[in-house]
Amino acid sequence: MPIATETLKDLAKEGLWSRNPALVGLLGLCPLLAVSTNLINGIVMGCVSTMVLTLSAGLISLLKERIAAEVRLPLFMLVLASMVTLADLAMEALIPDLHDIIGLFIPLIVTNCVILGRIEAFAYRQPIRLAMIDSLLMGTGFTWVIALLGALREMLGNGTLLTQADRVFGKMANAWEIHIMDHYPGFLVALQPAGAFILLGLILALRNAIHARLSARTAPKEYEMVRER
Amino acid sequence: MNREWIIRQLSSVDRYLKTLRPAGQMLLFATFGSSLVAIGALLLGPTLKAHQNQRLITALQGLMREATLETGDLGEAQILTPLSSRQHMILYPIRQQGEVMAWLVDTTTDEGYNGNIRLALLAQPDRSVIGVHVISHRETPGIGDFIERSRSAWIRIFEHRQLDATSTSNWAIRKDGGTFDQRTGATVTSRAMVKAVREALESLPDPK
Repeated sequence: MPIATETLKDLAKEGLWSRNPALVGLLGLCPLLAVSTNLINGIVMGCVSTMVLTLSAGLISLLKERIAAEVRLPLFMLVLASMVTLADLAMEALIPDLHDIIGLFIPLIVTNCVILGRIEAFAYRQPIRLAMIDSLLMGTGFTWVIALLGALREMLGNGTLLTQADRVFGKMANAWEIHIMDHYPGFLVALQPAGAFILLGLILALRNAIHARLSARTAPKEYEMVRER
Repeated sequence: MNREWIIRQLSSVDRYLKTLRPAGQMLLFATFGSSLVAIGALLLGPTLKAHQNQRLITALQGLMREATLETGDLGEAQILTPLSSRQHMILYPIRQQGEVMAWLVDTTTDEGYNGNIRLALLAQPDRSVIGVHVISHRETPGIGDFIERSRSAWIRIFEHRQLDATSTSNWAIRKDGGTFDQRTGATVTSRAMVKAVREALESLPDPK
């Protein structure tokens, strides 16, 4: 049975914007703040989390009728932990240099509430394809936020973009590194947890401002109706 | 012994069986999950091993450059029996013109806070440390990862320290009466590191 385009659109809108797990749910703050020290770290962390989420959601959705409701959370954790361990092993084998840097945070993906939350609220109750698409979109929503935060922190803190790209893409990526400005003095706070919180706050504020403007434009009638009452 | 009593007993058995179902399910999922991980580890094992060895060689080259030693031949490996249980240790003599100039010890301890810490130690034949480098570990991020060279200079406290008959009792963290500074909040990690280095030094052949 094909999935209706409307459903897809709704899922995409929710995952990427209106119910973005990082910006609206404020979930998964630990990896979001800890790993987003540069763009590449952010992208990789986002992608690995998305992969883990999608695979686990598929598996849970497949088995949902057989899972005893009273132990579903521990069972989710078991599936998640296996997936995360596999992802950790795969990263160590495929991108060992980057694994040296963010490898310690990979096991923490298990504790990312975006993942557990999405599995409990969606995958556990929906057919497999829908569950996986939703996970992919929610994961992408998380990824763009962590990548944006990483890019901002890297630019402010180091004055560069795409450092360490060679750790993922090999030697050819050495040339990708962009220096925004020569002799940038560096801004240490941006690289530290405090800077991460401040920048995330600014991103949140910007997102809310845009969202308010957008919803005021698309739904003026509803607002009027509310006022009449 | 009437019928009611029997029914009551049967229904309680049924209740017990019902509580067993989730337990069985957890067992099943745990088995399934660990099999997945085991298969993954088997498939990726050789690649992981190659990476780790590469890291050992990189660590050694770094240590030798710091000590201004020429890179020797790593081919001649001497596998010793472990000193304490479940400890794996490989000794590599580093020769210059046939003379052993230094020893590289590749050792792993499981006494850290979380999983194995694998480290490379470069030492003079008289059991004084040239340098220590952590190859892999899974200590807590932000607390136990100070043992990495890239994060903290703590690991340099081993440099130039010697293990001989008079200094054996010094080879412990201050908390245990030794002379090595532990990291506050990471006593277990510090203790494991000092012990691992001491045991690696003890495993070297007696100095002439």
